Amino acid sequence: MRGAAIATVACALAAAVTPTEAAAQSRVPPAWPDAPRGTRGGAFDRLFDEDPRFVVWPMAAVLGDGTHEQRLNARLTWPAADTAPDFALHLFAGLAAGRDAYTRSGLRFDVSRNVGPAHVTGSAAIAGGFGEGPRQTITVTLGGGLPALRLEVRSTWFEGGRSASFRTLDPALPELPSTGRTDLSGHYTDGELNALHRLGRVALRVTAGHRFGGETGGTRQWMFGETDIPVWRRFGIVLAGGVRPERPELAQPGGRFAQVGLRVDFRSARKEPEAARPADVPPPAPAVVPIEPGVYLVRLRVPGARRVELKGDITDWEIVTLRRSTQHPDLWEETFRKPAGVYHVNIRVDGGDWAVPPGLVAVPDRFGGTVGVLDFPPTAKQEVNDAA
Amino acid sequence: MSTRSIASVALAYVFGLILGAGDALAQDARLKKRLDPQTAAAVGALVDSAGALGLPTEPLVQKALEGQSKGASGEAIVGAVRALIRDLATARDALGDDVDVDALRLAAAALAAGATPAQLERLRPHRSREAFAGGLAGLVYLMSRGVPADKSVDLITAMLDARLSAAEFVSLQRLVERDMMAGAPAAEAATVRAQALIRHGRVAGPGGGVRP
Repeated sequence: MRGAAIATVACALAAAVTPTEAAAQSRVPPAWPDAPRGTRGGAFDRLFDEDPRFVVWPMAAVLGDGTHEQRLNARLTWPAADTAPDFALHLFAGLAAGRDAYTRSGLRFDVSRNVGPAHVTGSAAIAGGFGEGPRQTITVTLGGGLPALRLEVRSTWFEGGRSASFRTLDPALPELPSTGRTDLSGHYTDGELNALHRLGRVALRVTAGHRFGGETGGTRQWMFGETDIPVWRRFGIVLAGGVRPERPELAQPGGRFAQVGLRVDFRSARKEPEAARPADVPPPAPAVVPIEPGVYLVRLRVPGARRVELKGDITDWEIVTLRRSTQHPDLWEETFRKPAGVYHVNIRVDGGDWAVPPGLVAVPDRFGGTVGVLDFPPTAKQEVNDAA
Repeated sequence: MSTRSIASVALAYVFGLILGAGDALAQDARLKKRLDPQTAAAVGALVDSAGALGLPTEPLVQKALEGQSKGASGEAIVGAVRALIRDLATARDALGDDVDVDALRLAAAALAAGATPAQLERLRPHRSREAFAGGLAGLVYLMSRGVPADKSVDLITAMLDARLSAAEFVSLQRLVERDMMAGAPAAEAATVRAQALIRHGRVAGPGGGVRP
């Protein structure tokens, strides 16, 4: 357990403080204000430039044996983007009530990289808890795949604490027949395949998994579905059901379940998405929002996209994957550190051909194609190029 | 292309040959990292010589990086950088030495889109206006949508004469785009919308000001 903890923290810190390869080889020092995003040093530097996002999920579930459980989960995340940040930090807390009352809190680091069309991710989480669950847990996850289909391998170590519901995962530890409870320590590894499909703003996810190591009180194979339905502004409804794995670190019994929850999403007060436009209105130009002198947020509307990449003068023609905006699933955005000026850019949607972003003036690129002209205005505080 | 710009480009080539033959120590690290050694040396020499002539060099480096990212051959990259130097020099001749880098880049884009130096020269009297770069962007836009270069210059000149702001040039693009989606010919839509903006658009402050 201690070794796993040290390795987890070391990996997370190494990922956080190591400058990117681009920064190491660029002539531009990592902290220069005009260095493009992705070439600045230390992920922490960039991380705390971003707005955080705070999400709360109250949930209730009915389990296969007829019992009920209630949960309240909360998470504070930097950056606020909900997809594909290259580095993210989460502080989380959870309260479970039902058969087992358990409270836990901890932190998680996520790192991700693009490898060709695939997106490879890694995360490490460390948490502590009290109640009917483990005292310490560590979870390391590695994953990869396309936006619509991902494979993850998740290893969890947990130690200390007792539970009325979970069997020990370590056969060497003794049963406690006088209380009916067991000492809760062990380790297991799960493999999961996720398929994601979006119907407009509604996300549908199906997860199938298998447990490879450790004893389990529940099933070793599972499959369940989840859907997240945005309802109004910060609120969404989360529905889930199927067969889920036993996860002692969450005080989650395995087996059949049906769950309904609410998602309440608090984040920076950026502009709400515009109403639907008539069909004969041209696509809006990318919004360029001056954040501060030399820092601009570029936001594009690309309906139905699963992945949007940009390259141009603002990235030294290196490919940057845009984040899906937390405001609307059709909006994609990224922050760039560049002086005011006129820049040339292309975008690629879902791995297709490079093209001029919708709404930008196209000029010949002198290589047989075209580039879009994007203006970073010298005056701050006014959103320009925004047809919204 | 005027005699002066021909001389500038010729000088750039001569400087390039001299510098390219030697050790290109001053080469941009990005070029060395992303281009093959021969192409990096050739582009580096062109960049150095353009810099010696007072032309902006960052657009040239970016053009080379763009070519590399698009899989262009070394020959094509060097050719594109040369063509850009030529257009930047021509644009500077046409507009004057005091135009900013953004205006120069947009004017070079207009040349690449088919404008002539003489047509650019017609915009020269407006070069101190705050919306000048916006006007050049509008010119490039109209030409990219198929409006004849002469007609585009007429409209942009009229809008600059009316001291419209950069926002009005963005509006022009949006309105013309909408008209074209509704089936209007580009030149007709541009004429109607430009005249409407001149008549009813918000007029910028007196004098127009100089873009910082």
